[in-house]
Amino acid sequence: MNVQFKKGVLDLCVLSMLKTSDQYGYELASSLSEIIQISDGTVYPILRKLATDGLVTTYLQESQSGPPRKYYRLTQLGRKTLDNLQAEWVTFSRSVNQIVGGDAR
Amino acid sequence: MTRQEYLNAMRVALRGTPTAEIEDILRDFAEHFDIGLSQGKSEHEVSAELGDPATVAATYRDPELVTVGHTADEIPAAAPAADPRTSSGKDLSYNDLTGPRVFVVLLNLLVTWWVAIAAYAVMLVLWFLAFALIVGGIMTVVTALIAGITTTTALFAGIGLIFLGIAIVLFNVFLTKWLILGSKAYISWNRKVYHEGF
Repeated sequence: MNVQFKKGVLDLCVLSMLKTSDQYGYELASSLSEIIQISDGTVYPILRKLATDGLVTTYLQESQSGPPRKYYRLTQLGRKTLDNLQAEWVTFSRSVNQIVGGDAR
Repeated sequence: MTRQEYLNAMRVALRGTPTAEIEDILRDFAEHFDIGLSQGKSEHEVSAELGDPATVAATYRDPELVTVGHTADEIPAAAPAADPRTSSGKDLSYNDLTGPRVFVVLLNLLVTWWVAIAAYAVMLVLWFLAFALIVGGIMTVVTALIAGITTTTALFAGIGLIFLGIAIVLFNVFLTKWLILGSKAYISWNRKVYHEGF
């Protein structure tokens, strides 16, 4: 998939994945890399940037197996940002589809 | 790349970032390795999935660089170039080479060494034998001619010896070639097992 495409939507994807439940880095990285084929490692800089921007917070939680894991949770601001991005994405992708696919839904 | 190599490469690539931040980032990656390993992946697999440490480190500095990633099917193709040991899934034994190494040393001490001595001794003996037969045959013929012995028996015996010698030489050429090729193959196999495991 085109690298430029991915760049634009990564924040949106990560935020969306955190919408329903908190997740730890490995989990996010492997599901994301499976779906849109990025290297697992690039998820961590994104998460860090989202944390710096105040869109997510982190906390450590023990796991049944192995060392404690760092979980990521959406903040209030994160949720708001996600809603905005999501709305923008829907409008945007619909418009692009109209042009590209002649697909006027 | 092993876990340690990967983390070291990240540390180097992150140079210039505040120390506390570097430690924090490396903790995330150490955790990623731990979880990956606990799910049965090898350190090499996890490294390959994480992607080039320098690229990842650069992404921390400039988030716009984000996700210059591999596709899922690019990873196996790219990994062998970076590290031949990741090819054909042999990396699983990479961490513990004690078994293969002990095996190689014992095999050589107990078996190979003696077999090789015997094989090369046989080869040497055959070369001497062939040489002796040919020289002996020529001597017989020459002696017969000088002595004026015209009996065909002596002449034929000499010629027979020469041909037998030549036959052994031919056989010996093959044997020697085979032994040398076999030895080379064995040595390279040994080296591979010693350094990379089975």
